[in-house]
Amino acid sequence: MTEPVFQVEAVTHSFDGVARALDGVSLSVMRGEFIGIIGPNGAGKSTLLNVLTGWIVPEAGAVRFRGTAIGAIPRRAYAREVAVVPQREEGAGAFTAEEVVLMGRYAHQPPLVGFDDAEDRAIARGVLALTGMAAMAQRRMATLSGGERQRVLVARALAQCPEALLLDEPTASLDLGHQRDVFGLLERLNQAHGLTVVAVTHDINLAALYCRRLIVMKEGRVVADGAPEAILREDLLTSLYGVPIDVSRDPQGHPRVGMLK
Amino acid sequence: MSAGLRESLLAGASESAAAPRAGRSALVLAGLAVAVVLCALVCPLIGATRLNFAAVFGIGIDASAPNVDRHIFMTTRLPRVLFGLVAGAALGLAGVVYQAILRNDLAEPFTLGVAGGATVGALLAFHLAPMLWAPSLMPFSALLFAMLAVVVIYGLARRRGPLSSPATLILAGVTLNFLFGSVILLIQYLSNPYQTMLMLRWLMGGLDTGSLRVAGGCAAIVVATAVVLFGMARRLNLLAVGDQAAHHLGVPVESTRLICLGAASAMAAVIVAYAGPIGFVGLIVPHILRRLIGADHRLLLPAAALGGAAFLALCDTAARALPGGAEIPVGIVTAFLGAPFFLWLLFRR
Repeated sequence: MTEPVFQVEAVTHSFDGVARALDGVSLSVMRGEFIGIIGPNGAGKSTLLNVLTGWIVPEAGAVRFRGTAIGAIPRRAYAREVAVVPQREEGAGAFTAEEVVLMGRYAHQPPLVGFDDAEDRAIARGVLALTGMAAMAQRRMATLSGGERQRVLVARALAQCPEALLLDEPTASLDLGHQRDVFGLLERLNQAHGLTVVAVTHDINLAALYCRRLIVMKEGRVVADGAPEAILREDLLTSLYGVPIDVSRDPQGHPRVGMLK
Repeated sequence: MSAGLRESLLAGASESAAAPRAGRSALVLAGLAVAVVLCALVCPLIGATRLNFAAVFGIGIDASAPNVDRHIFMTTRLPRVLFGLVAGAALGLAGVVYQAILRNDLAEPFTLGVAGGATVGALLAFHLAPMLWAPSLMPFSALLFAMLAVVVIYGLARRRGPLSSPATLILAGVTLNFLFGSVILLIQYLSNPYQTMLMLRWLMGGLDTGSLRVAGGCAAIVVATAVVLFGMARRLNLLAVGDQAAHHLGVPVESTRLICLGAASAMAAVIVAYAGPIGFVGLIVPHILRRLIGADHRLLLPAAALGGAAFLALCDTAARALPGGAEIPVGIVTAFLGAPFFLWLLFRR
C-alpha cells in the first residue's frame, strides 16, 4: 500500500479555453487502493479519469505512473499496466464479444499482425466466464443489451491483465444484480491480486459499499478525499449537490445516502 | 499483480472449440484466391476477338505459323487483366482502410477526395509537361496531389478536436471533390481538343493503358504498401472500434492513422495515375466480404485484396465482352454497379 501508482500534481485543463474542467488537482493513488470518484455533473470526474488514461494531456501539471510521466510511456507498455473501462463504446458492433475481449490482448502480442495464441484465447475465456458472458462469446456486440456490452468491456479490460483498472460509470446501464456482480468481482480482484481500482460513478451508495476511499470533486477541484464513513456527511453532500440529503446506515454499517423531497 | 491475474485466469480457463467462423473464413479466402487465378487465366481469352486457350499455349498448332491468338493474349489481354487484378486489389484495400479509420461505411478513395486529388495531379502533369515526359510524371504528380488532399482533410478535421467526428472528414472530402472537379474542368477548358479528348477518355477509368511493365511496376508498389497495411491489421481492428478504445488498448492512434492513410492513399493514387478514377470497387467488395467473414482486418485485408482483384477483372471482362463487339471503359461498369449500391447503403439505416 505504500508505493504510489498514480501521482497527479497541480493538473489544470480546460476544453474551450474558458471553463476549467480541472483546476489545480493534486492527488496520489497507492497500489491496491479501491477508489471511487464522485461529484455532480460537470465536476471534472471523467476528465480526471482521462488524464490518468493518457487520452487527455493536461494544459498544466504533471501526471505520473509509478514515477514516470504518462506521456513518456509507450502506449503498448502502458496498456499492459493500466486498463480502461469506458462508459460506452459504439464502434464494436460488427465484432463478436470474444473478438472484443481478445482486443484486450493486443498489448501483449507481437506488435505487427498479432494473431491470438492459445494463451490469449484461454485468458479471453477466463474473463468472459468471470463476467458471466461466456455463453454469449460468439454473439456480435450489436446484438447484445447495454448491460451485456458493458460486461464485455469489463472483460476486455481484465484481459489486459493490468496493474490498475480505471472505470468510467461502469454500472450505468446495469441492473442491481449485475451492479453487485461487477463491483463484487472488482473487490475480489482487488483483494486477491492487489488490483488498483479507480471508478468514476454517480452511484454514491454503490461507491459507499465497495470503495475504501472516495474522492469528491466539484467544479474541477477535489473538495473532499477520504474513507466513505468520513466523507459521506449530510452537510458536505447537501452543499455538493444543492439538494437536501439524508445519510443513514445500512444494517451492515455502510453509509446510505438518500435525497429528501 | 498482472502476473497473478494472468495465472489465475489461465488456471480457471476451460477447453473450448476454435471460433466457429475460422473454418468459413479460410474457405472464403481460399475461394477468392482460386477466383483470382481463374481470372488471370480465363479473362484474357474473352473479348471482341475470342481466343483459343489451346492455341495461346501453342498446343496442337503449327509452331512455324504466326500465332495470332498468342500475340493478342500476351501483348493486349494479359497485361490488361493483370493490371486490372492489381488495381482492383489496391482499390479494395484502400476502401477497407478508409472505412476502418473513418468508421464510416461510405468511405472510399473517392469520398475522401483522394482520387479527385490524384486525378488533378495526373491531369496537370499531362497538360503542363512536354508530351514525352508526361507518362512518367503523371504517377508522381498524382501521388503528390493525393497526399495534398489527405493532408488538407486531415488538417481540417484535426482542427475540430481529435478527429472526434468521422462525418467531418467525409464532408471535407466532398468539399474537396467539388474543388477538384472545377480544376479538372479548367484544365480541360485550357487544353486543345485532342488533349481534351484523351483526358475525357482517361477520366472514364480504363485498364487498357496497361503494358506488362506498367502492371509490374504497379504490382510492386501495391505489394509493398499492402505489406505495410497487413502489418497494421490488428491496429485497424482497434481503430475501427474507436480512437479512444484503441488508445486505451495500446495503439499509438495518431501515427497508426497517418501510416494507414498514407499507404492506402499512395496505392489509390498510383492506380488513378494509370487507370483514371475507377469508383466503388472499395465500397462494394469490402461490404460483401464483411458479411461473409466478419470485421477482423487480419482476414478482411487479404480478402479485400483478392476480392477487389477478381471483381475488377470480371467487371473489365464484362466491359470487353458486350454483345455486338462494343467495348466500354470499366469505370462506367463499376459506376453503374456502385451508385445503386451506395444509395442502398445510405438509405438502409
